[in-house]
Amino acid sequence: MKTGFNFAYLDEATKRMIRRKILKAVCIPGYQCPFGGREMPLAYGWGTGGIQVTASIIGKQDILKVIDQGADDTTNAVSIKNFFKRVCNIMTTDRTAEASLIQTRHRIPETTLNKDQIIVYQVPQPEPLRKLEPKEKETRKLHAYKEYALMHVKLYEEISQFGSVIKTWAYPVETNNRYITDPTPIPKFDNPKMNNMEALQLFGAGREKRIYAIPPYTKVKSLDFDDHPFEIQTWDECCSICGSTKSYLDEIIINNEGKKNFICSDTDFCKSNLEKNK
Amino acid sequence: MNIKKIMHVENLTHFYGNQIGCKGINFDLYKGEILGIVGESGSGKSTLLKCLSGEISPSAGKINISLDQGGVKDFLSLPEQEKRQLMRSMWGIVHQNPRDGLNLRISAGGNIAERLLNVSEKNYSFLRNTGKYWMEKTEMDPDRIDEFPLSFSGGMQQRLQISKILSSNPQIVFMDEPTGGLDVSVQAKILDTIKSIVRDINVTMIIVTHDLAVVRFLTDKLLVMKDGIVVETGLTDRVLDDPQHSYTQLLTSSILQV
Amino acid sequence: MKIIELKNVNKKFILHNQKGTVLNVLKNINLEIKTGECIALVGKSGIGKSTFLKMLYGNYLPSSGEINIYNNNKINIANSLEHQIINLRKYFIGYVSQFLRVLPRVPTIEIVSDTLKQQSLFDEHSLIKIKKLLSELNIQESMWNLSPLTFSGGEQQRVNLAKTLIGNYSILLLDEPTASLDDINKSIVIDMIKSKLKKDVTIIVIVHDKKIRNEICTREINLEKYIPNDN
Ligand SMILES: Nc1ncnc2c1ncn2[C@@H]1O[C@H](COP(=O)(O)OP(=O)(O)OP(=O)(O)O)[C@@H](O)[C@H]1O
Ligand SMILES: Nc1ncnc2c1ncn2[C@@H]1O[C@H](COP(=O)(O)OP(=O)(O)OP(=O)(O)O)[C@@H](O)[C@H]1O
Ligand SMILES: [Mg+2]
Ligand SMILES: [Mg+2]
Ligand SMILES: [Zn+2]
Repeated sequence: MKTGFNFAYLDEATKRMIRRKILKAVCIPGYQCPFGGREMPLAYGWGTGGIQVTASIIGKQDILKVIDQGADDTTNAVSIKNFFKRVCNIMTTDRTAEASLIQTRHRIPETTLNKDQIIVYQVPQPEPLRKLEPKEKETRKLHAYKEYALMHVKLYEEISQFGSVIKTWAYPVETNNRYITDPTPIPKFDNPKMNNMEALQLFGAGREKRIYAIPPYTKVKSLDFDDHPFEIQTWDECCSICGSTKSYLDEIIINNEGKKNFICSDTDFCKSNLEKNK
Repeated sequence: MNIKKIMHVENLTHFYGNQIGCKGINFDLYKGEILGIVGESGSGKSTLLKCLSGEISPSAGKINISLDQGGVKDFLSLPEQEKRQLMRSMWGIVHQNPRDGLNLRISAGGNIAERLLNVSEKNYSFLRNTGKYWMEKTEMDPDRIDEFPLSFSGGMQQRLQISKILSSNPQIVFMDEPTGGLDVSVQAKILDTIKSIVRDINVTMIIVTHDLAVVRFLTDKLLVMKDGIVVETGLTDRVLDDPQHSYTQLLTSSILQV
Repeated sequence: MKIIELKNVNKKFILHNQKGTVLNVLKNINLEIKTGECIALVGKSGIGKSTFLKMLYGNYLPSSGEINIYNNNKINIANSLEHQIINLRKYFIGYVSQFLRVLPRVPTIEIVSDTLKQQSLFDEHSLIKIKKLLSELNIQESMWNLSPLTFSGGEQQRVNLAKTLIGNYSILLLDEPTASLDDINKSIVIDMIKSKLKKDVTIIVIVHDKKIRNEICTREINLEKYIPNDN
């Protein structure tokens, strides 16, 4: 472990403050708690919110997994993992099932999470109503009074223009029948995983200095209309590496003729699936 | 016959600093009534309407309201949430400038849907059909439901605003010079529309205007205001045909016979 | 059975903007009208016949006194709530003014239908009834879908009559209903008034023609005796 730093980089007082906010967030599922965010040794937009949450709850026994777009080996994921190795001297893993703490950007692992795990989401914009109502003072009222008509109007507009809701990521959800929550830019494919998840879900927004949470076993419903129910993406193809038909697939162009291939976005899932099928 | 009193206003007074907005206003509003507020510019019509619709809190006075569900309530001491909820469904304001009442970033249908979504189930076809129904009722082309308000003329924007407000089947509608910014021929057509709808759906309405022709054809009773106070009140045709107060006499004699 | 009762009714106009001129028009009216009567109001021009009718309709305010209308209960038109008067006008008292006053652009047939709609009497037979009435009043079919505002004086008056006579009122107030009609149309309107009387409708009418008065009226009220002596 690198010396000259406190365990997990943040000082104990800051960690305690953030833990208190996390407790509050857990008590009010989906509610955005403001917190005194600190400057981190990386720029906003690279996961500063998620890192502060992770730093506040990580312990010496934890095994950390970090993914970006489902992959453990992208630059962002690797540098965050290295950061925590240096300031905590903890173990890291690529295996979802082995991890006790998972920090993620843009995906939820395919492997079902369990009650001994915590998943921390990096949040670019915590306010699901922001694009519809620019004023913070007003969006707070909309949440407080549960005035969510505008959100459904957005879906209405997409159905009337395109025949169906075209939003495929950051698809808004209602948490515990109360707050409308931004699930972060995960594909809507992952939304159903949030519902009744056994693991604790924590969300940290660095720039906006907000923390919110979805406690284990909480109802999470993707917004929809009775006659236009929520649906997840499907593919005609299967993963060209492991053959999976159940996972979220990334489309990649593999030659100059534009030939396409589909592979699992969750690299760990793909690997284990391949091993299992061997 | 027992018609329900839905609003009771007592000594309603509002000052802007030392400037009188309106003073000592008293009246009752019964279900299904259309109340006109007339008077010259600066007489306090808009101030009164804003006090009644919760847009400003008056300096003094009392407003009791009686909702469809629940008994009589003291409007001025309702918590903000209840006032907002009231405005989003049970009551409605038709603004003089349609842009104040419409969301320009969403389609005509979306505007109506927004209001309906405050009260209704989340059903797309229902929103769609209700939107078209109200566009037709306000004499708009329902095929233009997906167009944006800015692609409509001023008169159509006003019709859209009226559709939006009426779609939630409101208990009271407040209108401040609903045809003020429009040219005369368009004004007349919109008034026809309002009149025919009002006959159909038995809405209760408070309408501010200084057009006595509007008042004659649309309203049941009148408040005549001058310098912030009500100088005369009564059945509309009685006030216009047999005005008692000198100001009302001046007002009715200064216009062509309507 | 009394249906209308005037008690100590006075009417004056104060013209504030004409140096406060006071016009004392009618004074000390005390009278009763019974169901099914047909009353003619008589007196010279300017005596206050139209004013009398308008007070009964709530259109003019008596300066003092009571005007009681006996429906199921007693309603004093001089100090009732607006919606009570409106309701009375919807179901109980019909008024045909000297001049037609309607919304622009509303077709004749709709103006007439509207009375029935207001009285919740509009059904699948109503249009036939309305068309029959308009035909009887010699309003040509080609005019039914036009606004009456461009019609001739006599035609307007007949539309005005149709609009009220189609309804089911207990009291009818008629201000010179035959004034601008030719003889044929006059006798048609008189027949219609007679058939209303057969149905026990109470009618108060202003009509200058003595022959017509003799034909339909049960009683004349001469307003001469209500002229204030200070005039
Ligand atoms: N926000 C304000 N601050 C100060 N004075 C105001 C304000 N709004 C209105 N007033 C004053 O209060 C009085 C009543 O104004 P109000 O707007 O109610 O009149 P109005 O009858 O609606 O006139 P108009 O027919 O021109 O719309 C006026 O003297 C006006 O100048
Ligand atoms: N709204 C009013 N304001 C002022 N004076 C009025 C008003 N209406 C009627 N008057 C006056 O009251 C008097 C009676 O008028 P009214 O119209 O009742 O007479 P009338 O008997 O019907 O006459 P005519 O036979 O000519 O129709 C007249 O002097 C008239 O000028
Ligand atoms: Mg105003
Ligand atoms: Mg007369
Ligand atoms: Zn795979």
